[in-house]
Amino acid sequence: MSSKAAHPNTESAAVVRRPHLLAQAGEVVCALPLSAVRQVVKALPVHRLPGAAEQLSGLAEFAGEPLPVLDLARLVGAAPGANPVYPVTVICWAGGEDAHELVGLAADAALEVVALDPASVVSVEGGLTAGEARVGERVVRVLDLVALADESAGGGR
Amino acid sequence: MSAAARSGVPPAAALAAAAGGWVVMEQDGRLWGVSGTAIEGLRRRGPEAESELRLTVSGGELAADRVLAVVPDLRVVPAPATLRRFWSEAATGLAVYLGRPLLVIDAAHPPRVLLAEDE
Repeated sequence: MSSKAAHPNTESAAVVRRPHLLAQAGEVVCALPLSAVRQVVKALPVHRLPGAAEQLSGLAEFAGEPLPVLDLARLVGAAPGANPVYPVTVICWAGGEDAHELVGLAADAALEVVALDPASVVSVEGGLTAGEARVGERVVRVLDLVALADESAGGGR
Repeated sequence: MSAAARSGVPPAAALAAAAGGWVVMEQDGRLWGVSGTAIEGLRRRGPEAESELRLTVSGGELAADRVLAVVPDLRVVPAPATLRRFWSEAATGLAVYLGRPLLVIDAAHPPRVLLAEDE
């Protein structure tokens, strides 16, 4: 057997799967690039900002630093569910490599880590998503963390 | 405790000491910060038991339930892009005071929610 033969359980060398954290947000499951996730913590106390867009839950304190906390369900254009209490906050990096910042994402649960092929992500309209991808039996929405910190895009109000 | 301290109004000396420092105030349960050098005036409005404070800055008169502190140093980080994207008001930056986040305002363009509505 040639040493170049692909293992039957692996895909071709051209496919680079990237680990993503799946998080429940209202009625949808979101995928967050694991490289951008710093920590998942019990919901941080959030101080709401009057006049903020619905995507911005408010401000919190994390590790001694101020932190904007965003509503993950709202970000991906999902219904927040009947009783959105968001028991966890996912701390992650938003923005590009040259200008990134920490944000908190209020979510219902952190579910699991899966490998996603970026090529399998299909563009969809609505929300700050890079698109949708199929993971097993379910369709997940991939949050675009780079676009999230693009203030020129406006708040979508 | 001085009368000024009991009433929640920092003594003038404390405000003067804030030159180059920061005034931390609370309004509707939220914390806000403003540069001490931006404060042009301070007065109380209404009966003492239920009065509010009025802080005059270049952008208008701010309403505050109370002044929590006048601090010489506050580690202010620039307002992050996500905040600027989803909050339309001007903000100088963010900080933390006693474990609570606060928004440092631009005294020339204070958020509408802080502007006093009386008079």
